[in-house]
Amino acid sequence: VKDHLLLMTVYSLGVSVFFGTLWRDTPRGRFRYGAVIFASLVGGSVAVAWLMTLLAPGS
Amino acid sequence: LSEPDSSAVARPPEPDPSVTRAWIAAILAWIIPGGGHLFLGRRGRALVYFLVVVSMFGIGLLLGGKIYSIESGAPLTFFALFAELGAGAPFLLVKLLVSVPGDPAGATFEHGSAFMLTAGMMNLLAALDAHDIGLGRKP
Repeated sequence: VKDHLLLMTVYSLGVSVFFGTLWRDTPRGRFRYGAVIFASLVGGSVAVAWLMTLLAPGS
Repeated sequence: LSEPDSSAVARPPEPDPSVTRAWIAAILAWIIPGGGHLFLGRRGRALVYFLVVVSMFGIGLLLGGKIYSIESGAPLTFFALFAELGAGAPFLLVKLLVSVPGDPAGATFEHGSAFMLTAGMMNLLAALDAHDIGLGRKP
C-alpha cells in the first residue's frame, strides 16, 4: 500500500478514535470529539497539500 | 521502669492502596496496551486502546517503519526510541525477536515510522490515563 491519502486516513482514524476515547467519557461525546479530530486531520492535510501545489515549481 | 508506650513508636506510613493501584495500572498499561484499564475494570477503554495501539504499531511495521535504537552522532534517536518504547510489549517483542532494519529509501518508510512513533506516544498517554483513573482523578 503506497496510497498516501489512504495511509493518512487510516492514521487519522486511529488517532481520532484514541483521543476521542481518552478525552471524553460518554459515547456521544467520544463520537463527536473523534469526528472533529478526524475531520480536522484529514481536511487540514488536504487543504495544506492543496495550498502547497500553488508553491510547486511550474504551477 | 515503665514499658514504652507502643502507640508512640513511629511507624512507617502504609502505602495508600489507591496510589499503589494507580502505579500498577500505569505500568500494566505501558507493558500491555489496554492492560492497565482492564486491571481497573474499564473494559471498553482497554479494548479500544489495545486495538488502536497494536494495530497502528503493526501497520507501521508492515509499512517498513524504523525500529529505533540510540545511534552515535544522532542524538534525536533517543527521543524516537523513547516514543517507540512507549508501545510496551509490541515494541519490545519486535526489538528483541525480529530484525527489522527499516528501509529509508522505501516509499512508506516515513509513514511506517510515524505510525509506530504515534502508537508508542499514545500508549504512554493511556498509561497516564490509567494512573489518573487509579487515583480517582478521572471516572
